[in-house]
Amino acid sequence: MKPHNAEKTCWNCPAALFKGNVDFRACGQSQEEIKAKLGEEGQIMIECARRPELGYFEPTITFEQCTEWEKGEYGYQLKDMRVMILGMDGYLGWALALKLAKLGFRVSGIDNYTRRDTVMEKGAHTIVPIEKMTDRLHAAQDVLGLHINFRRMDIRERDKLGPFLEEEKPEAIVHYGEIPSAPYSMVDVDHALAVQDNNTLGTLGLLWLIKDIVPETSLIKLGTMGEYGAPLTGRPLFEGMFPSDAILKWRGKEWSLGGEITPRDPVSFYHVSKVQDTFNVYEACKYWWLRSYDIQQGVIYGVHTDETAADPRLRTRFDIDEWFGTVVNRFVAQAIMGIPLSIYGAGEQIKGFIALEDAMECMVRLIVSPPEPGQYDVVNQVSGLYKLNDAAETIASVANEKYNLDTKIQRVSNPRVETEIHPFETVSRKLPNEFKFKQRVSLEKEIDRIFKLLTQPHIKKRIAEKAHTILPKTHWTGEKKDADIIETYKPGSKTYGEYQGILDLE
Amino acid sequence: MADKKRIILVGIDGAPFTLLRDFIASGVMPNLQKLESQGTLSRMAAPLPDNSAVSWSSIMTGKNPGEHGIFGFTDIIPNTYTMHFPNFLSIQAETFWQREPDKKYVIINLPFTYPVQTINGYMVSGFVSPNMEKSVYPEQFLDYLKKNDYQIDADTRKIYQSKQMFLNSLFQVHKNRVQVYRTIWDEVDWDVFMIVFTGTDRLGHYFQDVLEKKESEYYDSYLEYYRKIDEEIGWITDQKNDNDILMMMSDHGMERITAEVHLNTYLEQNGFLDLSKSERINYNNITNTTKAFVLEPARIHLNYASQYPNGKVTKEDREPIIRDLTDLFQDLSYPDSNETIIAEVVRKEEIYSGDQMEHAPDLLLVSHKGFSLRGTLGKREIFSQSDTIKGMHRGDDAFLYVHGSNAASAVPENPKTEDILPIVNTMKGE
Repeated sequence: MKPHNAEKTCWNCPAALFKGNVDFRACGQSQEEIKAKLGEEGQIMIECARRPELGYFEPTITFEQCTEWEKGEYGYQLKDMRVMILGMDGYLGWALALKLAKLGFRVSGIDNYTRRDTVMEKGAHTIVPIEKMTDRLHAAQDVLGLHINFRRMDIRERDKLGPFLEEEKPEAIVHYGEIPSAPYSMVDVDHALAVQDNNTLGTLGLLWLIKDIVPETSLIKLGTMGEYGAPLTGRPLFEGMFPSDAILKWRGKEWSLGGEITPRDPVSFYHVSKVQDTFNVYEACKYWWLRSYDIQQGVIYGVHTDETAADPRLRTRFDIDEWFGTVVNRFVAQAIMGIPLSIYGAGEQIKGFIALEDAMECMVRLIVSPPEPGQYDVVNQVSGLYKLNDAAETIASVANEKYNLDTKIQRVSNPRVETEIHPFETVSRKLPNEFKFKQRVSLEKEIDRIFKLLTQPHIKKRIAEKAHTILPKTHWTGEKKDADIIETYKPGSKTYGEYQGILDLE
Repeated sequence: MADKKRIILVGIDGAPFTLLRDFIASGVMPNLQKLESQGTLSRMAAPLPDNSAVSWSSIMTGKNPGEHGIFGFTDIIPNTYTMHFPNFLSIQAETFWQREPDKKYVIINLPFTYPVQTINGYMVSGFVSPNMEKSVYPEQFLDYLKKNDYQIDADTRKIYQSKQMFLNSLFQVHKNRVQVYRTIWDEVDWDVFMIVFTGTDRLGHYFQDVLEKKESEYYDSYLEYYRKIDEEIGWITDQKNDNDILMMMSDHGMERITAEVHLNTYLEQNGFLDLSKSERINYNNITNTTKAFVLEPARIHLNYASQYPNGKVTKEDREPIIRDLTDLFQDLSYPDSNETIIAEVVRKEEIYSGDQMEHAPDLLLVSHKGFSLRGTLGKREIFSQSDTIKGMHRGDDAFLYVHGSNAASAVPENPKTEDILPIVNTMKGE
């Protein structure tokens, strides 16, 4: 079977220089202007940044045919492809940097260490110890022989980021440089403003830089499944845009909704920032023919990638506090500490999930298969749907059966304003079909890996030191108080609601 | 400075030897007439195919296409069916200014030098130069050119609106070019000066028919254009120092078109070429039953399994297919007059040598007078007439002029384009 991106062509390749060769303004506006731009043979001609000796040519070379693309583990891979990771010091950024560098990508990255600072602001720390960036880079070199070009900067410092983009000329930009916490954005007005300033305005500024400096790059930007909310009708959560056969019916008339952005229903000012990004990126693709994949990622969990597990100095961070700890990661830490797994509200919330290792593979597959100029596309990056109650049950049973713990589950009053009982159907067809992603890591497998790492004495000690930061205190009302405990029970002792998540992969 | 042996190369794109002789005889080109007696004017053979990209590449490198790797304005990117327009960076041999980088050069309007590269001196690329910014070195020179409304080429799209409008543009472009090259002639202390006049090629392509129609309103314009070229020959002759070496050349000749012959259609009709159906046909439509296809103007490539995505032709198949194709092309005749069309079917190994041979077409065709061989895809009929294109290249009717009493001994009996650099060296006394 051919790799997923074998038939992609120059239209998808960041080395293809369309700017200056193709007048996109003409498209859809003036047929005459397009004809005038086309050569005698009626073909659009481009140049290649990597193969200038080809002169002008039709953008019809497939990745399979092109000598700049070589077969790799995750499809054809552009030789020494330059990828810049914004937010490289984070949970995902560091793991991806190592993975890409290991695969032969030329990796650069920036970070302003906001995550380290905000976790410290909470009085917490990453319970898997991580090195400072300088030492991480040394370790990457020493252990894996990898060179990564890192600069400390904020994405909003355009006077620094611009020159760095000029220097690196990245062929893909992975944007992990946002503050990824709903509770953090709900602490108070300053936190809400900080999140939207960093996320929304930072990304808007980035789009202008891309337009001016690297218009051929593909922006692979992290969104969140949380943008969609959980519609009570059970309407499927499509991948960003309605499919062509989605119909709006009203007063006896019908319209196709195909290609329109689906409704968003964010559940915090952080989620709102992601929704605002969606529109800003979408518009930039429309106005300037930039290209982007918006990754609506499910709740991420896990500790393992081959590269981060290669040496303790290469580990990625692992947060468990109420602001930055994601639910599965937090549950495992609670189980190890003997704290009941804390579920907010009814616990009937159904969410999409994906393990760290799988998420990283998805990202590589997306990086090597860029969108076409002007293409804004959305993928729902999830590998499983779980009800929070069920996730807690699974983790508790692994804890109790495999690690001889006596884990309980407790429901606490929900600090958030969200739908607690709802149907949930998610479409996630693109990654498995177009990009040939297959889930490698089951929830059980990754939970086991987390347990193995977190039960190591030095890490267990670090959990104990910060266990008080796990339970929620940040309420959407603006109050800072402990959540009320509604009930505590043994796993397997309860019957849950009837809604089950439906994951549409076909 | 007077002792310095400078080199002056003047190109006149598409100027036929035969026509220059006529113009000398009829007094259209008095300055050339004067020079004729002071040097050697010869008929020169262009390489095959007789196209400006190939020919100027041979002139600037002194190499045959098997060495410099340029076989036309278009080619197919290896391992694909994607057509591309090679450029200066595609040339696989050193040019004269790359061989002697310490000399000071002024090179204006030399075709196939886009995108311009760093040079010790000044350079303005000739056609095809899609972007003026990438055609001028040094960068500061661009402002001067822009102020003088310098254009690399006349806008050929104008011909479809009005022949007169196009002619006006052709004269204007020439005038502005003259102003620029004359100015820089004095301002730079150069060792090698090369200027190429390319309007002559455009004139030929669009107006070659008028030479046989003296009553045509454009006949005088045709002659006038060559008078303008002759004025520059006179100016350069006046400016040159006694020690300077002066050579003039064209890259191919020109003759009137009787008919355009679409070779791919001929191959399709005879089962050698199969194209899948689609709205827009290009080489990606070639199917795996195709044995051969044609690139402009008359380059025949076999659809090798080792070179093309849908190729099935093996090394063993080559000889029989080539024999079949040779017979097939020799049978091609023009229905209106029963004239045979193909004068010669040439195998690449007969005319090329060098390490770029693997990229060369397997066969090249030379037509009888007036038949313009084309590689256009998707034509229904083999023959067509163009309302606009009236002239076609003639490979064996280029010219070479070498000034000086010692020129006769430096020029071989039947000079070819790749002989020009060796002749320069002989004239320099090297």
